[in-house]
Amino acid sequence: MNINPIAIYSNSIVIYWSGLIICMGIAAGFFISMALYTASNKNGADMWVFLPFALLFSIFFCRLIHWYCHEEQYVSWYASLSDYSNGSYCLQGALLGVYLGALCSKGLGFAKNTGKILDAIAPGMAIAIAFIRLSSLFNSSCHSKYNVENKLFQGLPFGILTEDTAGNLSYRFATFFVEFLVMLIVAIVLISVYYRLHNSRMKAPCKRDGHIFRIFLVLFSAVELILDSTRNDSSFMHFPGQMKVINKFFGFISIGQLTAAFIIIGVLIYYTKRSVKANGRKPYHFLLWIGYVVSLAIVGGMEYCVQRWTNMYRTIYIGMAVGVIIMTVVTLLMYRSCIYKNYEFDDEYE
Amino acid sequence: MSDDFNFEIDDILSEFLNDTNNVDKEKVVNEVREELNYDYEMSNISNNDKTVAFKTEQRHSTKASKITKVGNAKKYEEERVHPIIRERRREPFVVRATKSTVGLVFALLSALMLLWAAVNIHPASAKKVNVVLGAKTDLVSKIDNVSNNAKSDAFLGLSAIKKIYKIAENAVAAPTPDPYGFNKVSVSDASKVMSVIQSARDRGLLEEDENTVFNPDADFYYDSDIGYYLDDTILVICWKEVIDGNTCTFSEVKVADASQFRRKFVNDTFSADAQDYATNIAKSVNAVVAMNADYYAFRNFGIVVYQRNLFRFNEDTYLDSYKNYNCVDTAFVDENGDFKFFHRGEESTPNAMEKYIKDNNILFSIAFGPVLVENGELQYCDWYPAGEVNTGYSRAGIGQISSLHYLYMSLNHSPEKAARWTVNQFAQHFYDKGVVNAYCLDGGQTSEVVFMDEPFNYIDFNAERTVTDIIYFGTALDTWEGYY
Repeated sequence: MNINPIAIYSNSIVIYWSGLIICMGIAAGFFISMALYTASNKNGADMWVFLPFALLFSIFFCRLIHWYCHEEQYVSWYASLSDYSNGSYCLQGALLGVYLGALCSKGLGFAKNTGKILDAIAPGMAIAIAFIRLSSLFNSSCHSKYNVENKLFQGLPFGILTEDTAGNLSYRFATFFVEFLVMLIVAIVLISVYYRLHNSRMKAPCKRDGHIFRIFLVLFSAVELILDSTRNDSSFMHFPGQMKVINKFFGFISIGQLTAAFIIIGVLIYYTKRSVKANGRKPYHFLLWIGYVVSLAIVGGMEYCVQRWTNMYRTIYIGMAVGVIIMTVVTLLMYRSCIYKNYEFDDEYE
Repeated sequence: MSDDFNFEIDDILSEFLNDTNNVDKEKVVNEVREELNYDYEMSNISNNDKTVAFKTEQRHSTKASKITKVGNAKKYEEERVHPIIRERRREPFVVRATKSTVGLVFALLSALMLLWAAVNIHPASAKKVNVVLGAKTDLVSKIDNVSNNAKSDAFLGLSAIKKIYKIAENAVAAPTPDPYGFNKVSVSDASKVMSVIQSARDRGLLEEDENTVFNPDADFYYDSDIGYYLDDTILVICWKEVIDGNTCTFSEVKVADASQFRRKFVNDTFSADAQDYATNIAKSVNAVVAMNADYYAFRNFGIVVYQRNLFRFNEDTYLDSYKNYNCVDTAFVDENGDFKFFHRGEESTPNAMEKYIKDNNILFSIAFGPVLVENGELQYCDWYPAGEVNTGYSRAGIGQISSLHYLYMSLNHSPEKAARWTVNQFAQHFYDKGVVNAYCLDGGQTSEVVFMDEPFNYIDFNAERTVTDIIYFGTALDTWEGYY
């Protein structure tokens, strides 16, 4: 797609479509989060204090990770963190940025509960991410490494027309547009989940808040596990010094996928510990963990396969999707085991 | 807001009820009462909030009726309070006013930050392009060349004016090759290729006494074709040969001008985020034949030169006395298309390297290695940081037979057998083909030769891998000079 990347040009000011859409997405996500937060009788000031810190930290960490992965793109470390108009970003930094933003809001005496503010932010963040992905449609980077041969899928939302330097045209899988749509769905799901579950009774010692944000993390990670693998511009870890040998085995796993995998296992461990404390050690804990290990093996195996047998990517991604779904369901079931259910109350005491 | 209250009670209840030892239900409700030490003040809240509070009340009544069975529900009901009131009662007006003011300040700050972000953050829209490319046509030199070649044609037989063919150094792609110049013959018709070689001699591309590595009597891999391309500026022959039971792929190239031997980074940018399949990259530059190079983005060692610019010269320590820049051999290609090697352990500085590039007219480099053959002498390697030199592996390398005459060789898996050569074995076989200089490229699944925009060799796992760069040979014959 040949879209002029420049939206506004006036004297020395150039505003790109991508920048405009990213900011519109952040604003839209923020106001939705604000609406959810204030609907719970919370003070909107908490959110306003949160936003600039979250933006600041997100931009910083997104750039820092990108600098780490693509050090040679920048003149120096300092240059990468002082000139933001050149270079790119790794979205994973925004997760940390948002968390730190929430901590700042609490630290300054505004938000009383970090979990509550993060819960409200979760759907908004999904929307912001969706728009960040949409922005790539306007800077010619919304394509994966896979060609789309089937004419039915050559147009959006699945395919996009690309042109190489020799003028050859080809249809590629529109990774970011697909992610935009998926994240919109995730946002809708999270809003619905927010209204249903954000104050769910949790079994002791589980705290009541922060679960919507964890659900968001799991869903976003699930999406990233698959779609980041299809990207042609993923960022990779580079282990230094004596750890260089790790590069051989993990160097081909993108930082997006690694982060996603760590997030999911982190959330699973969090809920497992609380579930075991609340319910005692039960057979389903073992079953869920077996499910997780199996799903991890499927996802890891499929990632290996898709890099080896690229031409079978359709089948492999279906397999990977199955693994990711199992992984997500396992984690959410573990979360569910921490929710206090009414019928338990009734059964026990009537 | 009503849920807040509801679940706060629930939380406390659940905490007690979960404890099997604590079965005193009245105590439970009393605990709730202590926890929620607020008054019930419906009069201070708005109608809307009253409605919400009323609904909350109804829900609490239902819950309270359940609790009746276990404790003092009436007291529980009396003690409840709407969360809005509770919230309002907690913070004094001054605190709330201060918070609102600060919130307003932060709102303005947020708006400013978003505005700044809109102006400054535009990933991939205005990348810092390290390599200045884009001049598809150097018109002056092009017109000179065409004029010279027209004269050559006009005075054919009367005067020997040598034709000039050149691809502009900063061209993003080579001219499109003649689609009718590509051909494939089966291995049983290998002798037909000799007529193509003769045709190259007739066109002056090959000297009369210049031999080719291609031998129609070679032990070709049974299930393969021989591919070739010929025009006035380039001859390419690709074939698969069985050596020591392993399948090797060769690509012999003779070009008219050194500018036809080129390198391509994805997006024409050093250290770009993007990677692509070699076939796609080859297609994007109109390569007649292309091969993998060093996959530079996957490592940070060696010296990287592209378009006469030094892009990588990392002086960090790699191991022992080696620095990142000199822990591997680097192959430089100069403007005559000849190889020059910078050896492992050699010392240099960025300034000295810049001078070296300038003095020797280095166009680009490849940083993988090791050097396999140098000045006609076979090299030996016992340790090397890149690639598994002492274990059997798929290999790839590029060598020079004579001026502007090159040979690419790769050893890959075949459907029948996995490739197993050490670097030294590979060097020996390369040397046996008569190359004067040869250099090892990235092997394994990366090793690939692209001919007619398709992989010509059997790549490991029978599938391409995305890479960041290729080296390629293009035709210098422009379409508008007419090859049809």
